[in-house]
Amino acid sequence: MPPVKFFANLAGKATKFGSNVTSKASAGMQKYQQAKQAASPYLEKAEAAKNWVGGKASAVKGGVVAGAAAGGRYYGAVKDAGHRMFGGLSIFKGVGPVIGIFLIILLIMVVFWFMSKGGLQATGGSEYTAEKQTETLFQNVWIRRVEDWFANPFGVRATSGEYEETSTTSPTTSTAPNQAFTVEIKTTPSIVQYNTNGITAVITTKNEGTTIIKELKLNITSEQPAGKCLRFDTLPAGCSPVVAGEYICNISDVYPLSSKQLVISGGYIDETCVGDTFGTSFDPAIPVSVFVNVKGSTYYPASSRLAVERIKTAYGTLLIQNSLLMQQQRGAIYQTGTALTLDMDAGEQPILDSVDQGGLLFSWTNVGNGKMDSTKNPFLFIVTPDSFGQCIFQGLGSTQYEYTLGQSVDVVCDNTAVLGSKYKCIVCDASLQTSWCQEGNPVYQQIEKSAGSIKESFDWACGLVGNGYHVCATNGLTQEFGLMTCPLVFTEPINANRITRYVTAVALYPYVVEAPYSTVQAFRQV
Amino acid sequence: MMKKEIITIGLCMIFVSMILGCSFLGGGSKNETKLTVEQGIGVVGTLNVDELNPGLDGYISLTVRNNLGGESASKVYVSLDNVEPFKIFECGAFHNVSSEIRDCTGEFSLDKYLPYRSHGESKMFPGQELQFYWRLRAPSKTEISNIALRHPIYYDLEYDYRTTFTQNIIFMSQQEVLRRRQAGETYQVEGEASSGAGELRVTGATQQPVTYQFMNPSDITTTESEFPFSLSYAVTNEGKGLPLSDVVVLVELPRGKFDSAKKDIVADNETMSQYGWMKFKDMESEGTNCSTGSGEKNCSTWIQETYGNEFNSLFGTAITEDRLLVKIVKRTDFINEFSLYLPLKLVAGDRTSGMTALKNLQIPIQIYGFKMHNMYRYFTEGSSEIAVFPVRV
Repeated sequence: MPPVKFFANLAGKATKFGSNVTSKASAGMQKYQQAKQAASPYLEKAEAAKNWVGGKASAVKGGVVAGAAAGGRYYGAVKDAGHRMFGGLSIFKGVGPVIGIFLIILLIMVVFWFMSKGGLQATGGSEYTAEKQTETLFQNVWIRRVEDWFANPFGVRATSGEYEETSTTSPTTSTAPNQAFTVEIKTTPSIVQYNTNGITAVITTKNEGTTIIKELKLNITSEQPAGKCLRFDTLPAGCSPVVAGEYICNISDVYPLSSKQLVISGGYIDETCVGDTFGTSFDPAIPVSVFVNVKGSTYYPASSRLAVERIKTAYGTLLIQNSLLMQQQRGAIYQTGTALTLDMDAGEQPILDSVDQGGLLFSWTNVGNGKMDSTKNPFLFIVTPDSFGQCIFQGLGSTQYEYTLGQSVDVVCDNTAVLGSKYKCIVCDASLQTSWCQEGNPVYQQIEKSAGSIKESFDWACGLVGNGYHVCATNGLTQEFGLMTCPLVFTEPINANRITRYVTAVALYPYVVEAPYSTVQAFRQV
Repeated sequence: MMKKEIITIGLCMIFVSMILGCSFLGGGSKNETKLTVEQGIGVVGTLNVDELNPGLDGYISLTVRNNLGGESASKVYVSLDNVEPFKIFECGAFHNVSSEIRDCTGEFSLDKYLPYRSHGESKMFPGQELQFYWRLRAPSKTEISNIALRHPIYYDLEYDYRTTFTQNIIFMSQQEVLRRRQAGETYQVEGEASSGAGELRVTGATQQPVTYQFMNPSDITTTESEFPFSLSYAVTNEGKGLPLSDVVVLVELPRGKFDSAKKDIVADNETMSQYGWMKFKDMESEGTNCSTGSGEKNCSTWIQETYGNEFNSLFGTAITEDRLLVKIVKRTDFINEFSLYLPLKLVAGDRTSGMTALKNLQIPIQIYGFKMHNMYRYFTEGSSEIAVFPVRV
């Protein structure tokens, strides 16, 4: 047989063999018995092959042994052919069949390689689909394991993750919860006799956010139907009674993702109090449920930053004409690990530098498990670069002591007792520096108590006034969610092709989180 | 089995394992960087820091390769754009990068007097690879106020490039076409064409064969008439960027087939000027200006500068023999693709040139090779983002 024809035949047979084994592993089972006989001189090899692939399933076993058997048959044929081809040459004497086997192995490997490249998946639709199908197929068949073995017989092949291209790392804060803090109260025992000092309340406060809580106030009381009838005669340090049956405790320095516990012991349910609540229907022998409640409140910060990208008009137009201008992602990067989401949007970007006015849409949403404390003032600072002008929210005045809500009323914006519930103010730049940023100012003092990063943010914002930035502060975040808009003016010339400036929003919001009720039952043993 | 056979099989297996092991692993890598044929110069690798803490340094680099299948590129500039509020460390200090000019030599031949955010290399040969890098310092904790920053940084790559498109045009006599038709042979034959790398892809659109007809096919004593025909090309921007400059198109007409001192194919001044073509010599004498991507410049000077020393060897003879035609395609006219139409004619000639020679020598098929050269400044842009996350305590 001419060598070319011989190899062509050989290649054809080997390809067919490879294809059969791949797509019909089950067929191997049927061939198993026949193959076993045919392969008897080569069972040793088949066993070795089994070891390679770790084939425990019968189908795999069948496939491998069938492969060995078929190999044996081909080996025989090749041995003869090899003798015919090479036998005449003394240097190949005795080696001809070996070279034949080598060629078969080589051809099988080529078939494997061809299949691994999706070569037999030509009708698989898109390239991606074909690749996926091939990948799925190969994950599940023994041939993949053989391929793996040949790819790396020493077992040090990298996993796909190890040679993956540099991946974009997602922000490290993205997994942080959108909460500020949680409060939990547990009271023991669950049933007590009236006026017996046996109740212990364990209050756990956990900082779920990413900012230290310097000071947190806990309001402990009991609710209906029994009224405020839980009494503690002795209180731990930091706690004080407000009225009968209502206590306030201050805890400090709760670090992010850590908890603090407050234990108050020696509590009792005041029978007289319960009797007064129920009136004539009161029967002391019937247990009454007292719901113990705790509310935590503190100032917590939230921040957000919006990139505003501007592009030279000539350059931008050129890119637009050639369909090369890529739109920037809209919206702000907002801080996670806090309960208030601050989002900003300046519209489609990049903005051509021939556009000299734009707008900023600012929105906020309470995504936490608590509520904005309506009895206190939230503070929002909007920091814009000098070249963007002041961000004065529509409907709000531009200087200190101005207000909205209908008619003119003289109101002092740093009157913290009034602002939160009645008036919205905005103070900018110099007005801000001479009011809220002053140490003696009530707003400053209110913030100062929070200290930590809250005060840091406050000081940072105050310090930016006149240093290349405009800073406006407002108390306008009085709802759980809402939005405000302000105009931006763009005056900065662009030296390069593009320039990105940032608008930063920092909010210090009063937040209240209520713990689930804990129940104590009280009765009089008759 | 003999011991010799076992050893040989073992050796074969090891050999196969090693070869295929390498090929499998190589094929699986996703890091392989190749330039496609459309690319002249391409960015084949970037190294970006994805995330930095405030005040810390990181490197950003671009690996740029000139396609091996293409030609030399010149004035290769790579710039970072929108770098602020990051600073660049170079020449021994950190710099604000918006407009500051480098005050040291720099690493690349054209670095001096460029802004810190830019690097420039005068020439890149085919297959050459350059790595440009910058050391960036993230804004400080105070500057970002402990609030995350995700900053887009762009890189711009621009360079002068040229491509050559060679095409053999088949000319066939009417008699030959008829003969082939009658004999059932194909007569629609096309000459081969070859093209190098480059974002502006030229494809020949000339209908082939160009079929010429003799006025007096059997009378070899008379001079034949000239035969007009035209060449057509389509030029498409296959790259991901855009030409910054006008596109210079040079077409080199073939020499005479029968007598190299004579021309078989010429362009008619009036006709070709209708389609914006002119002889190179005329362009030189007229002092036509081109938009080069960095200002207006005399076209002839710009072309000669870009081709450098190769200009004379490539075009010297063609210019002397007046066989070099030029067309300037204005950048503003070129959005994504354009077509070129060049009216030419086979001269009437005499016994050793043009149509008369074709008739007298009874040549049924003649092949003329045309070379088209494109020259332009190309620009591409890419981007990456660096996030600066504050360290929280």
